[in-house]
Amino acid sequence: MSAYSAEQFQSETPQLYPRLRRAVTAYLAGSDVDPDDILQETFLKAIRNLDGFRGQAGIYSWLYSIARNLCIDEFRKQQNRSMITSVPVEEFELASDQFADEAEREEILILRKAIAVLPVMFRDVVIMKAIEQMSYEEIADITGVNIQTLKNRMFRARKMLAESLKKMGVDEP
Amino acid sequence: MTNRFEHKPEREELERLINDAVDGLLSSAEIKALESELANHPDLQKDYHTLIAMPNPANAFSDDSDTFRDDRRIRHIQAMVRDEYEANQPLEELTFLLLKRYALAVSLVIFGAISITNIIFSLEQDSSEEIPLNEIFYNVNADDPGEYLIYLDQWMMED
Repeated sequence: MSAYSAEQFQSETPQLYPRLRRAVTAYLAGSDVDPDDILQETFLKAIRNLDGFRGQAGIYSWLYSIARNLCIDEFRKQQNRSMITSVPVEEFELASDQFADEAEREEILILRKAIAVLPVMFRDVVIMKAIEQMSYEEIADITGVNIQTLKNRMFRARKMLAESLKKMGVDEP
Repeated sequence: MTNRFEHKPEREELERLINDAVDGLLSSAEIKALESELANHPDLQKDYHTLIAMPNPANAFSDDSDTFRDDRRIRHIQAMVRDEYEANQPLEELTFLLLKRYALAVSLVIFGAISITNIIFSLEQDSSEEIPLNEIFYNVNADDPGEYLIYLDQWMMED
């Protein structure tokens, strides 16, 4: 018996979807995989396996781990085509009316590019910690990696990000 | 937390502490202790200052929940979740679910079907049964069996 009913799942979809979409979009930044395809598959997989959800972690963490596994599968499929992004910064999608000024837009584009060029292992932890604001305990539950290792990974990921930003012309203070 | 600095932290421990500082998990006393320890590690000290000043990666992907209010993609996912759930139900539960959802429509259909059946039956009865002659040419007076003929005669005369 699941700790969560299908009706609950359906009614909470409007809250779960935008948050998950943000994470999946970050995960897939620079790849040609459509985040909406991954999201659709995630929700489908979740409802088919809802009986397996025991509720130890929240429904979002459970859903996130399904989406993450699907993204990793996609990355594996595309490995032969080189997952390191070759998408130029200018081609990262951004609706221009979202931003107050061009400088802000440019900073976001560069940040996206810097995240996209991180190796998957490091991108993973940056998305969960910095973007999703998950605790290290939650990340450890999802990834099965211990907290100390995650913190060291996050430190290295941040260093890589800083180096990428420097290469892309973002000045150090 | 400050006892993290009681023993001399290893390099990896310092990296984790720098990370905690960037995440805002250290108190001001712990930050002070970290900064003084980093004076012995110039490379890590440089990393610390770089990471503290780095733009927050969260800025790259803004929280745009509001733009998804009543979004067709969400409605599509909800419909998909519902259909998938129903498709995997045992027959009894599925029947119950469908009845629950379409109770009013089912009631109306049943009511309509019964009404139509009744009308058809009554029409068939009306057309198939011959009306006995004595229901048209009935006796006005039961004591006089010939009175209806008189009535017909009168009617023909009037015409």
